[in-house]
Amino acid sequence: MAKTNSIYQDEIIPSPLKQIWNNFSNSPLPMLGLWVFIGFMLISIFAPLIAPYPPGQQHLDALLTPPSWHPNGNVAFFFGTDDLGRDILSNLIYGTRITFGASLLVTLIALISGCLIGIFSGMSHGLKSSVLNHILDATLAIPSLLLAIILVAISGPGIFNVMLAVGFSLTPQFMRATHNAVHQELSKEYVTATKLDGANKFQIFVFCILPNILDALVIQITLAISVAIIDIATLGFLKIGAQSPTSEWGAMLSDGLDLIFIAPWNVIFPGLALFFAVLSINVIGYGLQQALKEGIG
Amino acid sequence: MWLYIARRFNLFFLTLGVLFALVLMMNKAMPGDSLVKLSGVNTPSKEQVVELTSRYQLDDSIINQYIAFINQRLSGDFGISLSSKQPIINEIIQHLPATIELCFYAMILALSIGIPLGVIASFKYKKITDHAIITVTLVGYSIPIFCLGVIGIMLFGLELQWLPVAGRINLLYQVDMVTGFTIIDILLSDISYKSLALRDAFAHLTMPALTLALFPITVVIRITRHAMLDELNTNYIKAAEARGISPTNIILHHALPNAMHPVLAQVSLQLSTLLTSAMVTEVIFSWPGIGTWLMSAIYQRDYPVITAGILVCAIFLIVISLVSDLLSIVSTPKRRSVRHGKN
Repeated sequence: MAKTNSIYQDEIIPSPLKQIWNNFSNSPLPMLGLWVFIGFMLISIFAPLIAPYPPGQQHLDALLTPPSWHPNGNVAFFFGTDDLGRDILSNLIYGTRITFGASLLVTLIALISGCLIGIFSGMSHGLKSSVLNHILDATLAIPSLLLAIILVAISGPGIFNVMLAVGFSLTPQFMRATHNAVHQELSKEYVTATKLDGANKFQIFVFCILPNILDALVIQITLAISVAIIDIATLGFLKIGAQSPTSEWGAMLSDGLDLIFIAPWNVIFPGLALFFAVLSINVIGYGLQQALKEGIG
Repeated sequence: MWLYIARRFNLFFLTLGVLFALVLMMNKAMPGDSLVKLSGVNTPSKEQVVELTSRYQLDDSIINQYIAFINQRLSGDFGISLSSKQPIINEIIQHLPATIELCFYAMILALSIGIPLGVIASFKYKKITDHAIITVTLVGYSIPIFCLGVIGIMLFGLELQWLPVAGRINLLYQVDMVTGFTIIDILLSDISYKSLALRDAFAHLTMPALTLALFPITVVIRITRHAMLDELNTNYIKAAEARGISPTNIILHHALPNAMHPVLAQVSLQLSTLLTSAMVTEVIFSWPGIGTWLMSAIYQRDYPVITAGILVCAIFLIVISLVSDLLSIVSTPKRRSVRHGKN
């Protein structure tokens, strides 16, 4: 509506998302989190180009080499090797694809399916809404990780089944968040005004509801990604997720546990990778929440 | 208020119904024969097949099966375990108290550490103290619980040897199981080495409880800080400030009691996360609770136990959410009018 180079001193009111971005990019810590997040994303996309060795390649002449800064270390294996002579750095880089990349995919799937159902139940009234609500409450009563564990127990281990299970168990949270956001928006007065103007349900949804629930969804997404990473890694750690030759961070950590006394680097580096991945996302989520609060106030 | 309570109970029973349907569906989706998966009798004789089929109505329509399933489970018959051949209900009674005990201490820790820190952070909003507390919270929030458990075992259990790393109590102490809660059992028993046993039980409890508590502590800090900030912005607080009431007085007697309601409501929502974290913690510290039991059932493909485990955990959470909702309705009139008539 407003042009920047117009001769009138128009006040440009940025859209809610733009405003949140402006607030967000003003604080340094969340921006750092965003850069780390982008870094992890680049690593998972270009893993074959960055990793020094293919995943799972065994160097039988260099079993349990300590990290390169250790006196006995070898710079060819920067983070050292495990008991089968696999380079930990390469495994970590390929593990980014599985733990980090898969969690992004999973969140996307959960987002799409959860939002569709949430919007449907949020926009409906009466019996239909009530029935959907009860189903939602019941699925939410089963904790997401427990649901994922059970689903993997039914379908058998393997990274694909893990992704399906974690995606399915994250869906109820998206449904609930979308449902609540839509419901809250629907009860506001400007929606009533639009209704009085003769807008149909679809128009109300596209022009009133959707732009205003996006911020709630963005926060839910960051929460879901960190939950997805932890869930995938926990399943790997419990040895019911990705199976051993797959370089998944949680599975790597639990494999390294047997050697914790002679080769602690087998446990420390996957743990650190997990920690930084989750931390970067949580910092972004925190920054978004702050940005949202300032945007309103 | 009564209308709302009636609606809440209505919701409770419907939720239970949906939950049973979901669990029955999961049980059907597991591989194997329905009869074996529901009853846990591995190689039933001919008479048993007839008897169990009629008990679970397996020849009938899915709706009758569903009703028979609910009847069986509510009457306390969860079938028998495929691996141990014991009735599952006995195993639940044996394992559930350990989990509740662990969760209870973790929750107490979380509330007693989290609420004061949250209040301090809100009081020093956007000052150094606030930033420090929030940073520590974010870091604590990001450590996966199994990493924390492993670090704890490495550092305090093996390196420094301060704390035992597994189990609930040293096997030297023979304590009879009465309630299933170790501490209460020790206090009730008439053994001569009571104080030693108590100290040992606490030593075993410390590390799992601290590991489990870290996540809820961070959550409680965040929620308390948020609720307190909302409360401190209200007009009645400003009025109290204008009348010259001291800040400590305002926080302790005016803001905090009002901020407690949203905090408790949110905390009861977090219990489901606490329960799953407790399961992982139990596996790491070999704590003989419902989590270890359920995980070993999963490794052994013991389907009746898996089904019973989900049911028990979910029913436990639904009942807790019902109780916390009812408590908050009875104590805060504000929530009745807001929630009434809406879902």
